[in-house]
Amino acid sequence: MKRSAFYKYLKKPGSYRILAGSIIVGLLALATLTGGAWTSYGPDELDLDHLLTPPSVGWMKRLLATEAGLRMQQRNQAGGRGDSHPRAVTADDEDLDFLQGDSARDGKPAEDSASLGGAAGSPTDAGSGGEGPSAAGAATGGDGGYGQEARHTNKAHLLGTDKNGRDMMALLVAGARNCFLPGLVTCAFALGLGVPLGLFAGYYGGRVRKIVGTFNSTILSLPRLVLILVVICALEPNVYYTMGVLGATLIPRVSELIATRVRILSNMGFILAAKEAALSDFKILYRHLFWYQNRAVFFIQFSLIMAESILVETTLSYLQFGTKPPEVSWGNIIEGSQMSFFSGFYWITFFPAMAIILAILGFFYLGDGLNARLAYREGR
Amino acid sequence: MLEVPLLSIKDLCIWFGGGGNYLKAVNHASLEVGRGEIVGLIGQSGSGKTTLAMGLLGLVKGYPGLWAGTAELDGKNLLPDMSRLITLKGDNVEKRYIPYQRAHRRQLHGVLGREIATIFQEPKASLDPFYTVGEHMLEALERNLDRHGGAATGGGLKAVGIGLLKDVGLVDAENLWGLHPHEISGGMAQRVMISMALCAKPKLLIADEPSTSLDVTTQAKLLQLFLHLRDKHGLSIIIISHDIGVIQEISSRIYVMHRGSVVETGASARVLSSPKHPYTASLLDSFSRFGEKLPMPPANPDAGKGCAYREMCAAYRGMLTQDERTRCEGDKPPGQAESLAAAAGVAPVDWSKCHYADKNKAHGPGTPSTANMDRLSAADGSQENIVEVRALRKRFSQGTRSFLALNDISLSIPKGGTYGLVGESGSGKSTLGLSLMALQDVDGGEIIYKGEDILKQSKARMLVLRREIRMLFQHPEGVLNSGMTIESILAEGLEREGRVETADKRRRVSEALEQVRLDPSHGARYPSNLSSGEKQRATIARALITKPAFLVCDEPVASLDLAIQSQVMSLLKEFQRHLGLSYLFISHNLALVKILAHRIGVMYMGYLVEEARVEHFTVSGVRHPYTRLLLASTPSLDPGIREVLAAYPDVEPVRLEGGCPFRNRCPVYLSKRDSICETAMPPLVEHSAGARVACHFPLG
Amino acid sequence: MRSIAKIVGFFAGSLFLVSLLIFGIIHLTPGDIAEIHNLSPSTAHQLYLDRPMAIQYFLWLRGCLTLDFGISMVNGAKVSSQIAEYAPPTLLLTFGSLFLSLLVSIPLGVYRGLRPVSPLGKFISLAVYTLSSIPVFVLGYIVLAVVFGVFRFYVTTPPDGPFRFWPYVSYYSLPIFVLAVGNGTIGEFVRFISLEVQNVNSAMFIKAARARGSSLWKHFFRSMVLPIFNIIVTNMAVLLGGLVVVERIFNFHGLGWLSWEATLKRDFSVIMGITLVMAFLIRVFMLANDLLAVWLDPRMRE
Repeated sequence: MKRSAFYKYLKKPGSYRILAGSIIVGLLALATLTGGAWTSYGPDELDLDHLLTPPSVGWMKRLLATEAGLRMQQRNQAGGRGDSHPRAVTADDEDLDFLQGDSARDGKPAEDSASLGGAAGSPTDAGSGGEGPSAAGAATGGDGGYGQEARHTNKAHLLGTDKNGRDMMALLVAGARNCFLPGLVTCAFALGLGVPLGLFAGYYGGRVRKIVGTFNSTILSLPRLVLILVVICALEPNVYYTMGVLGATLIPRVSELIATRVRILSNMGFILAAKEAALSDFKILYRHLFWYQNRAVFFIQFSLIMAESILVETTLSYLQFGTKPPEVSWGNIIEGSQMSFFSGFYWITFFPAMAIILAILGFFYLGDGLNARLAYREGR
Repeated sequence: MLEVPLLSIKDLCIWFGGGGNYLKAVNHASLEVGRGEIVGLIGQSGSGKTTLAMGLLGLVKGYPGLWAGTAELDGKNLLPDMSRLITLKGDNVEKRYIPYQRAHRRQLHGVLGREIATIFQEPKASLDPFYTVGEHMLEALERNLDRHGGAATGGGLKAVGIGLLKDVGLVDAENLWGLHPHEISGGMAQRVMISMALCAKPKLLIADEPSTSLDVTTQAKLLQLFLHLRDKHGLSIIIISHDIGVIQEISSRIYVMHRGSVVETGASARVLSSPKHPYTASLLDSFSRFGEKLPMPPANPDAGKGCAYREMCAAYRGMLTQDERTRCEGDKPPGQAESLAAAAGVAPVDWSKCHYADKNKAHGPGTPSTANMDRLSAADGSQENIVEVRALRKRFSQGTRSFLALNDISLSIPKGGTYGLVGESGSGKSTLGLSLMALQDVDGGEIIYKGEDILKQSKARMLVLRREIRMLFQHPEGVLNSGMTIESILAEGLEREGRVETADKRRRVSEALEQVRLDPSHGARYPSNLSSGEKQRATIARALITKPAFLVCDEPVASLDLAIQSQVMSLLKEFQRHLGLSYLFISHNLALVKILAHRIGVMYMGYLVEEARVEHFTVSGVRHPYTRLLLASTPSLDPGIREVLAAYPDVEPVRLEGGCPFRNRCPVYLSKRDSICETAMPPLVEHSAGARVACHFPLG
Repeated sequence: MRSIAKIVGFFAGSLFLVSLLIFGIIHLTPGDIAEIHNLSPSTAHQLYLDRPMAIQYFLWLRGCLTLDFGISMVNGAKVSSQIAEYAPPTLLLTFGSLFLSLLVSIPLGVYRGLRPVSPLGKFISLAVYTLSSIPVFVLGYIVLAVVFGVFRFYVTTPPDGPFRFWPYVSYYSLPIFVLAVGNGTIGEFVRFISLEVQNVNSAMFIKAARARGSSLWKHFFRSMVLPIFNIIVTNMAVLLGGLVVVERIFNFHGLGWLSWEATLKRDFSVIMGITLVMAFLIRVFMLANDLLAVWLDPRMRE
C-alpha cells in the first residue's frame, strides 16, 4: 500500500512531539517578532472603561468560570460595565478578600479586609502581607506607570482585561518577547561556552578534562536559583544578567554531554583516521566532532535550554527579580495579581500560566522529539 | 538416528516485524541433537543461527511478529502453545508478545540453567561486575543443591565450586574465587561461565560463538575443553559459530544456515569433504581458497523463481543437463519443512536444500589454486626495502605499573612486498603499526622510510609523507564518520594537496571508488547505507585516493564475514600487483597473513620472537615454540595439526619480568627448566637462511 | 585507600573553590557594600569591610569554618543563628519531597524501563513530561486553588512543639508535593530510572543470569543502587533551588524564604551564609555518593 510522505514521517519516533513542539515554538517566535502589531490593544493601553472584564469567548467562560467568578460577573454586569470602580460593588463579598493586595490602589477601605480573617484569610499573607513586595508592585504602578488611556474602547477584549484595564491578549503577546529574548541569551552562554569546553575536554582528555571537570563540579555544587540570587544580590536585578548566570550554570550539563559523546566517538576510530589523513586539530574538532556528529545535540540542547530559561525567567519575574513592571512578563503578570484566581478573576492568572506551561512544553517536546529521532538514527 | 534425540526442534519460525512485511530471522528450521553429541550450527552474520538458539530460550531481542514450530527436550515441550497467543495478521506485535513471553518463561521454568545451560560470545560482560567469581559460583550451586547431594554447607559448596573450576582448567581456582570479573581475562571468564553451567549438571550446553572474542591460542584450548566435557559428563553441545575451523574441529554433525533457513545438514566429515549445497561449498571455498575472488551468495534466497543459488552452483554451471537445469530455474528446491513432511516427521539426517543433492560431489569445493605461489616471485628480486624499523622502543605506563609494548623491534619491509606481523592481543603489533604512521610517539629507535627518518621529520614534510603512507583500520564503521557522505570522506585526503578543483576532486573520488569496485554513485551515500564489505572497500579507497606507496593494514578484515574477507584480500593482492604497493599486514590470524605476506614476523609481549620468509611457517619448519603454538591453534581444515597442542600447558599469557616472556607457556622450558630462560631474554639471531629466532633452545 | 583520600581531598578542594566563587561574586562586583547599606564604621569593621580583600576573604572563611557567618547587614542579627532557626523546616521539606519523589518515581520508572512501548509506559512518559514543564509557582497556585476551592481549608500556622502526626502532615504535605512535582524532580527521577533500568535490562550479564534461570532481582538491585543514589545527588541542587519559590508561595519560613528576603534587602552576609551551607550540604551528598561508589563498585577501587 502506498502511504503519503506525511504518514511515513509520523511513523518515525518522536515525530508527534516534534510537530507539537514546533507549532508552539513557531507561535511564540511569531509573537516575539510581530510584537503587538496584530492585537487590538497595545500592552500599555489602559481601557479604563473595562477593568477586570472577563474573556469575551463564551465557551471559555462557561468552561472556566468558578462559582465565585460567575457571581462576580453578574454583579459587574448589574453595576454597569462602565463603572470604573468595580470594587465598590463587591466590597462585602467574602471572596474578594484575596484581592486586597490588588485593590489597594482602588482605595478599598482597609477595615473591610480587616474584618475578614480566620483560616481562609491566612494564605493571603503570602501575597499581600506586611512585607508587601507584591502589593508594592501593583500599588506603585499607577496609571501613569502603565501607559496612557486607550482610545478605541469599543473593541472586544478576547481574553479579558486586568485590574488596570490592560488587554490580556496584548499582555500575553508582549510577555512572549520577554521570555524568548532572555532565553536566547541563556543559550548563547550555555552553548557558546559549553560546546567548545565539552569538545576540548573530550578530545584532549588529561589535564584539559580535569580543569573543565573541576569548573563543572564547582558550578554543580550550588543550587541554580540560589546562585542566581547571589548574583542578583551583588548586582542590580537585571533579567539579562540573570539569564547569563543561568547560562553559566547550564555549561556543565552541555559540556559533560558533549565530552562524553566525544570520548565515545574517539574510540570509534574516525578521529585516528582523520589524523592519519593529516587533518588539523581544528578541522577534526569542528568538522568531524561538532558539525557531523554533534550538531543534532546542539539543536536538542538549544530547545531544552530555551524551555529551562523560560521556566527560570518566569520564576524570577514572579520573585520580582526578573522582568520588572511596567515591562510585561508572564511571570510578573501572575505575581502582580497573586490571588485573583481564588476570587473569580481567573483569567488574569489562568492565561499567563497556560502560556508559560505551553511555551515550556513546546520547547521540551521539540527537544525530546529531536532526541528520540537522533537516538533512532544512531540505532540506540 | 535410532535413539530418541535429546533436543528436537521442528519447523521453527521466528519472524520479526508485522503487517505482511516480515524479516524471516528463522524460517522453518528443524534441528536435532543426540545425547552426548556436539552439533555445529554454522552460518554468516545474519543467518539466524543465534536467533534460533535465543528464541528457543526465550531470550530473543525485540518483538517477533510470528512464532511457530515445536521444540522438545527429552520429551518436555519448550515452547508454549502459540496458536492462542500469536497470529499471523496484524501489525501491533508488542501487545501480543508480552503474554507470549510470559507463557514461554513459565514453560522454561526448571529448564533454563537446569537442563539447558548457555554461554555467550562476550564472557566478561556475561558476569555481573559487582559480584566475585566465587559469588557467581555459589549462586549457581545454591540453585542446584539437589544435584550436589551432601554439599549443602557453605564450606562444602565452596569446595565443590573450586572443584568445578579446576575441572574446566582453571588451575588457580582458589585465587580466582575472590576476584571480580574485571580482574580476569576473557578466556578465564568463559571458563568460569562454563563451570557455572556445569553446576547444574545440564543435559545440553548451547555455546553461542564461545571463542569469537578470544585469542587463537585460548580458543584452541577452549575447544579441547568442550571435547573433554562431552567425554567426561556426557554433555550434548550445540556450538554456534561463523568459523568453519571451529565447528569442524569438535562437532560430529553440522547444520549450515543461510538467511534463516537450514540449507544443509549431515555428518561433519561428509559436509566438509563433499558438500551437497552450493552455499556450503562457497563457505568452504572462502576458507580454503582464501584471497580469491568468489561468487557471492544471494541476499534473499526466497525471492524470485527457481533455486536462488544456481548462479554460484558449480553443478548448475557445469555438470547438469539442459533438462535438469530447467528444474533448477523453475522450482525452488524443497526446504527442511517439506522434506520433513515427506519423510513422515522423521528429520532427515543427511540432507541438503537442493534438487540434485544425491549427485554427490556435484558442488564440491574447488581445489586451492596455486595463485598464492605466484606472488612469491614478485618481491623476490627486489632487495630494496621501503621501510626499515630500527630498535623501536615504546613504554606504556599505567599508574605505578609500566611495561614495554615495543622492545627494540627491528624489521625491514621489502619494496613492493608484504610484511606480515602476527601476534595475540597485547603483543604490541598494533602499537608498532601506529608508530609507523607517526600516530603514536615512541621512546626510541628509528623508522626509515625511503631513506628519511619519519620520527625526525618536520610537520610540513610529514604532511607530504602522510599522503604516501596510509593506513587501513580494523573497524570500517568506526573509520567512516557516520554523518559524512563517502565522497566527502574520500575528498578529505586531497585537502592537504592544496587547492584541488571541484571537478578534479570529483573525478579522483570516483576513480578511487572504481578501483575498489564500488559504483561511483556510492559516493553520495552515507556509511550506514553500505554493507560491511562495501564500507571496508570505501576505507581502502580512502587510502588509495592519495596514491600511496605504503599501506599499514591493521587487522583490515578481522571484523568481516569470511566471504567478504576473501574479497578484500583479493583486492589487496591485486593492488600490490598493479600499483606496486607495499604492505605491513597486521593480524592475529597466521593463516590469513600467510596468504598475502612475503616475510612474517611473530610478536609476543612486545618482542619479535621469530621472523622469516613465508615458506618457513609450517608446523615442522618454525623454530620458536610460540610460533608453533600459533600455527597449531589457527583454525584449519587439517585436524592433524592439533596434536601439537597437547604439549602446551593450558595457562593464560602473562607479562613475565626478566628472562623469556614466553617461558610459562613453553613446553621446552617446562621440561628443561633451564635457568637461562629465567634470566636472559634470548636475542633475535639468524638461525637458518633468512630466518631469525629469539629462543635459547629453538625447535628441531 | 588512595582513592578514598583522593575523594576526600576533592571534597575539601571543591568546597574551597565554591567559597571563593561566592565571595568573588559578592565582593568583586561594582558597588561599595558599606555605602549601599549605610553601615556605620563600627559595623563595617565588624564585617571586616575595612580590610584588604584577601584578608576579608580569609577572615570570612575562618569564620565559616567555625560556623560563624558574620552578622546581618540589615538587622545585625547573627547569620548562623538565623540559619539554625530556619534550617529545620527546610530540611524536613527537602527530605520529605525527596522521599515522596523516590516513592513515586521508582515504581513508575521501573515499569516504564521494563515496558517502554506499552500504553501505560507511554502514558507515564507523557505525564512526566507535562508535569515537569509546570513551573513551581504555577503548580503552587493550582494546588492552592484546588485546596481552597474544594476544602476551603488550609493550615498555615507552622506546628511547633513535639511531633504530632496531623498538624505536621497537614502543614507540610502541600509544599512537599509541590516541590516534588513542580520542580521536575519526579520527572527527572522517572526518566533517569527508566533509562537505567533499560540499560541494565539489556546488559549481557542479565541475559546470562536469565539463561541460568537464576533470580534477576539480586543482580538488578545491585546495579541500580548506585545510579539511584547518583540521581538523588545530582537533584539535590535542583531541590534546594526550588525551595526559594515553594517557600515563597506557601509563606513557609525556611532557608529558601530567608534567601529570597535577603536578596530583596541585599543582605550580603545572609545570602553568602545560606549559599555556603547549601553548597556544603550538596557537597556532602556528592562525597557520600563517591564513597558509596568506591565501596560498592569493585571497578572503582583502583
